[in-house]
Amino acid sequence: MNTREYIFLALLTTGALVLSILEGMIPLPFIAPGARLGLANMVVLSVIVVFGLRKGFTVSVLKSILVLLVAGNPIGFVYSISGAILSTIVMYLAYRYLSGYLSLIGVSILGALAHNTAQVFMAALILENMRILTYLPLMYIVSLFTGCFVGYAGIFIVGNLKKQMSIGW
Amino acid sequence: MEAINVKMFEGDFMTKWDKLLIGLILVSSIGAMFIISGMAMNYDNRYVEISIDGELYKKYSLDDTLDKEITIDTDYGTNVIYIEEGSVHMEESTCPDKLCIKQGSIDRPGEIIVCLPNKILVEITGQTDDRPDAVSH
Repeated sequence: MNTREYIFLALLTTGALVLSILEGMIPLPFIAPGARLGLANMVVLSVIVVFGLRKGFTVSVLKSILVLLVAGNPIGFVYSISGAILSTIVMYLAYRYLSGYLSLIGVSILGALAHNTAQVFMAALILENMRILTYLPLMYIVSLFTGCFVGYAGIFIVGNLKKQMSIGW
Repeated sequence: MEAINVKMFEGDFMTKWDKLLIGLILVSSIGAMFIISGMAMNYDNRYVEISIDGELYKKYSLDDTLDKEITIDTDYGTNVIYIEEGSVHMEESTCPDKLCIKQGSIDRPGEIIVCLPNKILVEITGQTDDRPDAVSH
């Protein structure tokens, strides 16, 4: 990993952090506890595609820690980190083995589903009540839309990122 | 500005497998929602159960005449729950995100209000009468 790559990843992590903070400012109708737009997923998705699993993992975990420092919400951190870990792994596996079939939109939808699943299971564990899992179907439907949007954006980001890197590397 | 070159993007925008995946998730989620709401229907008695950190704190029988204001003070924060005219809602909370208040009021078995930061869970449960349902042959 050279210096240029370090700086690039640092900038992308910052981008993910800013997107997380910005999406917290967008008022949303209540759907389920912890339901978010998942805009930061755009960055994680692009990093996985362009830089690979390890760096994608680093960016998503770092982003969760940074959001904890900025927002100061430890409960939110538990959900965001468990979601980040599972969704990164799922997106990588989906991209690695299913990219012949799925576009980045499908990959990002799978990532969003994984994020929701981890998060809701975490909530059920913390509150020791399995009834929270009944939120899952509704969250899945909502994450279809956000996943589509994130994947669509990811296609553009990956295209430009690869172009940029091929010029300046 | 150069025109957007489609080849610089990863594959197609949406493949038929994407659409299949979306359709599959949509159908199974909607099916699951119907099953969940169907399970909540067949109850004669409704109860409100309030639990803190996974342990049952209070349980009320919910009927249209019950009016109650419940204040819960824990190490995590303070919550005020209102029960009126057969429905339950969170009136006040010290949690940062106020998602529990935004969840509005609930009145059907299976519905829940969660306040994650304060670890409070309000749920409506149902119970069928002990006598077996009439089965006619």
